[in-house]
Amino acid sequence: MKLGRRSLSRLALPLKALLDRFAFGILAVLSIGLLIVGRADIHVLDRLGTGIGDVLTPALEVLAQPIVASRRLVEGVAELVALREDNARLREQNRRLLDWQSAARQLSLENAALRQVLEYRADPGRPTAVTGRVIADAGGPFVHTVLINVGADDGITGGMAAVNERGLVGRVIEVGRQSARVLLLTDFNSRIPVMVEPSRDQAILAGNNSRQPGLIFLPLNPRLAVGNAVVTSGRGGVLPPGLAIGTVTAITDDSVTVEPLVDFTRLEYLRLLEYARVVPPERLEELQQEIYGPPLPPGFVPPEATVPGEPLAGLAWPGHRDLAAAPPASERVP
Amino acid sequence: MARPPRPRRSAAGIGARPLIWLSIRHLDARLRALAPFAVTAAAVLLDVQPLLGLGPWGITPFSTLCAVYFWSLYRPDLFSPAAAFATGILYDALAGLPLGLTALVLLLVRQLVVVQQRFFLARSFPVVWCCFLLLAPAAEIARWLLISLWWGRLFDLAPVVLSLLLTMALYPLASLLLTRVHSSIPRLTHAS
Repeated sequence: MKLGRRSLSRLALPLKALLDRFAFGILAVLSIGLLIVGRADIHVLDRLGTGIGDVLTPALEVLAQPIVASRRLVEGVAELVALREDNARLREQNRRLLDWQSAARQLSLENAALRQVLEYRADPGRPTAVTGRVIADAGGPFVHTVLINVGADDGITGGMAAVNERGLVGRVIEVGRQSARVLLLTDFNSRIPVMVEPSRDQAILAGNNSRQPGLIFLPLNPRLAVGNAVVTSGRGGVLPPGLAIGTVTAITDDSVTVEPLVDFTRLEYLRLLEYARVVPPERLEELQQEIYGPPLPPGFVPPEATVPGEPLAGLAWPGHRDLAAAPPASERVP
Repeated sequence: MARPPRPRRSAAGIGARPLIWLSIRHLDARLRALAPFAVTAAAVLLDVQPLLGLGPWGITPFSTLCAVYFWSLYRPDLFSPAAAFATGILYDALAGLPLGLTALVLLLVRQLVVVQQRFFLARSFPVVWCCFLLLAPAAEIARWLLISLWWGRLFDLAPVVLSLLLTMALYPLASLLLTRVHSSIPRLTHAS
């Protein structure tokens, strides 16, 4: 027994010494290997990352408690100090909002009436929401992402929009079982299809790692002004349309800057909206016909192009009857 | 309180009661030996906590670097290259950085400190802090360079510098807290 142990240690000790000696080299090469493999978008590494996030979610949640509590305390004291000013400001805001409320009520009634007239079918994809808490935010200078404490088990899927009470925060890029990573719209990898109100010009909101993302791929001669609202356009079918993002703050010859409504240093709770209405390609044509009717024949000239009162010309598909030459309705009755 | 009589070793080996006592002591020593890595992992969890960011960028100090420097300096035997690597991977996974980035930098930091350990022996705190003031920028710039290479674009340096200044200012406080932990770890863990 004694001999066996000694021979074992005689074998193991040099091996351990060897490993210790080259541990730095081996691990450094492993790190570089991980970086290179990670660049090639290997999903195993993503899963490893989300796995670590999943495992540490409870620890992060526990550690957050005293931080949240102390932050609330500080904010509570600050609120007490600013109580008078806040009250005056809120009263003024309340007065303005009541005006808006009556306007909104009128508009929604009018809207409902007009929709009835047009037989307009509202968007069927009603977003469902899951709320999660931010548990990790590196706040670093490199990436702008946060980890939240809800994951696939709670119904989170990639691409979901993350919003808070002020507006759009970002979208989900990685999903673990109990955690998910949200790419903030300020991150330089973030690209979000948006629309500028009131001109409804379409553009892409591109993050640049600063507090203020910019608009790219604007249409020619965009009708923009400082102070215009920027909302999601819903193009691409991933994010719901109409989510508030921010306002245009600066327009120069080569850039348009947007100030987000969300305060990214105080992200606490996020609502994740599910709106992935992805149409499979095989259903695309069917769906197009459902919406736009049968495909138009070649050589079709829209009726608006003709002078009113004159007979419609240039319509050349079989079965077409000249509307102007058609007999009056009374004569058509047999 | 009277000290219990020293257990006598019988010819057959160690008695049952002292064995338990020894194994508890052994376990205690082993757990204490884990303290450097556990404290560094806690620093990672603290670094990624939300709502701690300062200023418009939400800058946080990189306190993990303070812990890695401290343990590489005072207990490199308990803070192995594997511990530095694991700390880095943990940080990368939680912060959403490419895996291996912080791991590589922390490994380099540990190696640099261990190689220069003779220089640090019996130096006063200001000297140790000054060395940290030299090492921390090197580490952060290495991280900045690596991530710029990885993404293929240059990142803004201003937030990196701000975070670095915070980290350097944090070191005395971190050192004070870590010294407390350090003094609770027995010097020779294999003695038991």
